[in-house]
Amino acid sequence: MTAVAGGLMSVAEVTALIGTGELLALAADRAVLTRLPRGNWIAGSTPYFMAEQGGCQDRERVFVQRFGDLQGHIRRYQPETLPEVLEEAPEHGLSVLILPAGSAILEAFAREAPLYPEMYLKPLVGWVAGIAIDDVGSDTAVVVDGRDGCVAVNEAVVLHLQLPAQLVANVHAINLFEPGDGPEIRFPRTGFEVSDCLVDGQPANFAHYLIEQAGAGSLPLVADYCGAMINVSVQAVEANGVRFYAPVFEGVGYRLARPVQDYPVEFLAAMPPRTGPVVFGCNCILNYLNCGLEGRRTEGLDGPITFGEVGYQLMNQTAVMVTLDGI
Amino acid sequence: MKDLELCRHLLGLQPPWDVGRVRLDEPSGELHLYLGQGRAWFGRYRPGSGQSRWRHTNIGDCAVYVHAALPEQVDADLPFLGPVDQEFTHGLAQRVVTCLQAGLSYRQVCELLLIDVHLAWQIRHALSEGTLPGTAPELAQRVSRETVGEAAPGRIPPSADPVWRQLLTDDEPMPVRMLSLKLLLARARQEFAQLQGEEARLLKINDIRRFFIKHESQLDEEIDRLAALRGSPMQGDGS
Repeated sequence: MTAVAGGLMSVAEVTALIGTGELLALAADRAVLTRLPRGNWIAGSTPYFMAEQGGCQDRERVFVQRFGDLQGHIRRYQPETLPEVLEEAPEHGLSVLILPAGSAILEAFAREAPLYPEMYLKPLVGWVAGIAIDDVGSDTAVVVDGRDGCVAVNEAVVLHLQLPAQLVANVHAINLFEPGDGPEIRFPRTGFEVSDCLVDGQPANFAHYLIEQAGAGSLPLVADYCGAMINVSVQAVEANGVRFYAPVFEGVGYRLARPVQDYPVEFLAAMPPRTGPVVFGCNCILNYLNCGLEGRRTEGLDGPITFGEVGYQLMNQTAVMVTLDGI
Repeated sequence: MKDLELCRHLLGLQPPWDVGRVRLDEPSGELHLYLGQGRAWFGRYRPGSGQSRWRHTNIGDCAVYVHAALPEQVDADLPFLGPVDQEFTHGLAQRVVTCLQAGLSYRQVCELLLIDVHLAWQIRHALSEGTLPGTAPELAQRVSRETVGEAAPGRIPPSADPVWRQLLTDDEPMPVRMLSLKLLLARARQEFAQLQGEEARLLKINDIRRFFIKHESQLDEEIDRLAALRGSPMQGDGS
């Protein structure tokens, strides 16, 4: 694959790039996305980015992810067709998915993706589009299909890329959170909202438990999936219930995470060894906000700051990246 | 004739079976056909329905793969379906037997039908076990003579090997490096103990084994650990 530079670009620069017919994955404020010409691109809304100059909010420019001379095609999925996403993916390729936050299709993906046919057998990455924190309540997250300019609030857009036989896409999840020393927490059913739980086997109300753990609200729950640490982040703690950004799953044991001291420093230490170029990256808005990433750079990984990350399944407070490595 | 009608005809499908979707992966030369039963299905995903994937007879130069969830009651001989514990359809098995009966060697049959080494080993094993319908004992003996001394392909154990169950049931999961394999193993281990019926467990084992075959070049350490779990290096027939 021919290496090409992406990053933050002006609308004029992106317009010129779209004109070449190149396959692109874009991220920008919703108003900016609607000014772009039609072409071979998919996009999601976010005004937050990790760019060369560090974490930033930018409502004028577009973050561009380029895939060089790779061939591929774009598909748009509805809630009832999204489960086919990996069956339609190339046998040897990489699929980049963007979903809108707060949508039924995101909720369905979060719950059911681990059960999709071909899940984990073909590389799937992506992110959840969102809006500026200041606009919560007055704006809506969207995804855009650049082929016809369709702006959707309950659909997913996917770029299915074909890889040459000598390259393989390796998906990495960089999660600095580790399970803390606290008790194991289990939930009686899969869902975004919970009230009852078992804390070290004892029945409890999870909202009450969290309130007792002073300062724990910004820390995710962490589950160990055969060595992969998967977070579920708390969205809101209410009187008797807790709402998450991703579902907790029945049958999985969670622990509250241990705090991260200095995110950019620890991030650099956690970066996987690389043999090939990074072709995709994204990081979570909660890491941006809670770990002080504004103006600071996560070395080696640029991309949109997102409202959920997809490393096969939905993740929270995690950076996801893809390297193209030789085989 | 539309694509789906053509595929229905080429596969010889009879109601209630139908083709919901078809996908040609041009770079790999693979044609994937997604089957279902009944008009309401339309090839859509049904959560919790375990899907089988079988290699079928070629169409032109394309290797055909059939995807379907087997119902509890199914005509065991339908040529476009296969057994849950195998990765080839009855139709492909019959084509192999026909070619062998016509005098071709087993190696020639595999080359002619674009059968890769992993599938070739599985079909050969079924032939020698006498589990392919219509196979005379003399034919099975001939294939055994032709392939004597040939080890199992690569280093991936066959799906009947107990190591796969061990991988999914040991108290401590085997250390693996790839994110996708960690997530796949975690899901499979969680589900495996709760699955009702041997067929559902075989589907899970097939998923894991398929991952190892597909990513063999990246899984040296994990394949060595599988070998260590088995207690000896992988050998050929009978393993």
